[in-house]
Amino acid sequence: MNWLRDRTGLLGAGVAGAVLIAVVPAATEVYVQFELTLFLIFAILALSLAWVWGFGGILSFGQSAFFGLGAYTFAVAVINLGESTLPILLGVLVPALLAGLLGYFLFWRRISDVYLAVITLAVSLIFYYLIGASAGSQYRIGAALLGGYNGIPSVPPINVPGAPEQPLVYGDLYILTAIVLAIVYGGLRWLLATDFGRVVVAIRENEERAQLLGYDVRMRKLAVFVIGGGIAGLAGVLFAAWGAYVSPNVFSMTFTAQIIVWVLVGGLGTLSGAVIGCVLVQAVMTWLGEAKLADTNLVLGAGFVLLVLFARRGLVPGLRDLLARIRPPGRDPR
Amino acid sequence: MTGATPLLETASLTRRFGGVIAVHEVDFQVGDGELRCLIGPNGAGKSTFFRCLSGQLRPTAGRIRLAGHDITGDGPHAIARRGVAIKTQVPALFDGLSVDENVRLATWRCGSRAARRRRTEEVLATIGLARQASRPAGELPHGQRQWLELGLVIAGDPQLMLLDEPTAGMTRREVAETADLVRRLAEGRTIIAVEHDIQFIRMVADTVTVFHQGRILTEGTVDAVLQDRAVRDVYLGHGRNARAC
Repeated sequence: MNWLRDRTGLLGAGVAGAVLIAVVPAATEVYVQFELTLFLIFAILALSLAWVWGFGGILSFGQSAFFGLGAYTFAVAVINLGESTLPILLGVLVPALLAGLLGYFLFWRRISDVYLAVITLAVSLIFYYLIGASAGSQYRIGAALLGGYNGIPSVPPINVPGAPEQPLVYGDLYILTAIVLAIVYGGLRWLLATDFGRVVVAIRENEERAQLLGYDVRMRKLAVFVIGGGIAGLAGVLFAAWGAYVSPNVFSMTFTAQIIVWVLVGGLGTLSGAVIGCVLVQAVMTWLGEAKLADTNLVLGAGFVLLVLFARRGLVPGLRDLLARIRPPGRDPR
Repeated sequence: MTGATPLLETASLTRRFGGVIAVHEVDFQVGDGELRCLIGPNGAGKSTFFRCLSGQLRPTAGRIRLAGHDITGDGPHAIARRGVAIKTQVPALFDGLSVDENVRLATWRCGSRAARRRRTEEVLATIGLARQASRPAGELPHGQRQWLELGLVIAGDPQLMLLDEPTAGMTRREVAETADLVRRLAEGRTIIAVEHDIQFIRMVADTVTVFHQGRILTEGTVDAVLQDRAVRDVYLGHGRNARAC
């Protein structure tokens, strides 16, 4: 049944991807695509945490730091260069480098899980206050003013590589984001199917045993963390291009916690769960915000409590358990 | 020690925990191809000694040499790569993964995927868990968990196997089966086993080393050690005429 379950998941992801890329742009208005683009960008960010935490076993509150750093790097670079190709690469590389540096100290110093979570949270908050204190004309990188808590406005859009006169407008950015999401999702699934991915999951299951079998746990955790940092940075790049704006709020405690909620709602240890959880939570928040029926945070909090009570492992694993229970007896329950 | 040169050698190996000396200046040697049992009452320092050998604990003082290489202070993965495999006291498995995946993760030395697949099947057949291959390790009963961990230990074809209480919690029948398995595994390998079960020790050991209060009390054949007055005193207290272990 495993192969069937795996292929069912892959097929479902493929159909969802095809609908997102081929059907939605033709069937929806531009403002819907604009809203959906943000959901998909956040879904990429959620995937970065799902990978790092759900499969690597590293509870990182630092994904927002990598996301924000990617956004700021892109914004500063694209304002200075006037063309988006190199800034996109920098927006991925700089957060990945930070993740590498941070990960080196965390994993080589054998920092335990709880302290690792606290340290990564501290890094996000340091960025929040550091960038927030950068108001004034003296805080500039080339032509880009950092702007303190006001952020950087008028970030130029992503353009066709090598052609700054051809920017990607909303519909184009939507398609680009959907393709990036599909590539990140497919890439992570592929990675998990490789020997490297199997060892990563094994480390999550029992780090000591993995070491005793001869696997260098530190090196693999570092690789997981760097990949996660790069993916979060890529999401940050798209975010800055989407809104043409970035502010220190991307490093805030609220946003950091939000990423964790997306992953928990969808189900830790699944990739599809992170995407579903993120899109669902964001859609509910947007709808509640527009309808003004109730306080958004109150409803979300109540929903989260219900989820913990009735589907502790999250929506996707909960659904799998439910399907396993209603299957006819005699079939493999897994 | 049967080999001309020792495969494993410790010199004045010491491990302290604050004011407690768990392993105290232990000079120990085991020859290539030997099957040695370590015995001693609880708290004698056997498991701590093992954890120093496997790199899980860094010795406070002293040296460890494996096949002539100084491995003192090396990490667990580095020592494992030198061909030392350990079966821990409480089976350390990848509970969320299948039995098959557990063993396959331990076959990384075998090279190609096909070679790893073949080795995995061999190991599963050796430990008698071929029919449980697709079952999550976390669902296995205790005895089979012990065997699966033995499978992880042998899968990489190590030159030195450290078995920490391989029969703990097993039924008499499982103990006999495990002893039979360990004897088969011992062919061409060096094994050091910490064990309390005298039935198991009699079935497998060439030589027995007795630990007491972090030091080596004595060493010799099973019968000689069990007849040793000092050993009986350690286990049962002074002046009592009873069988050791």
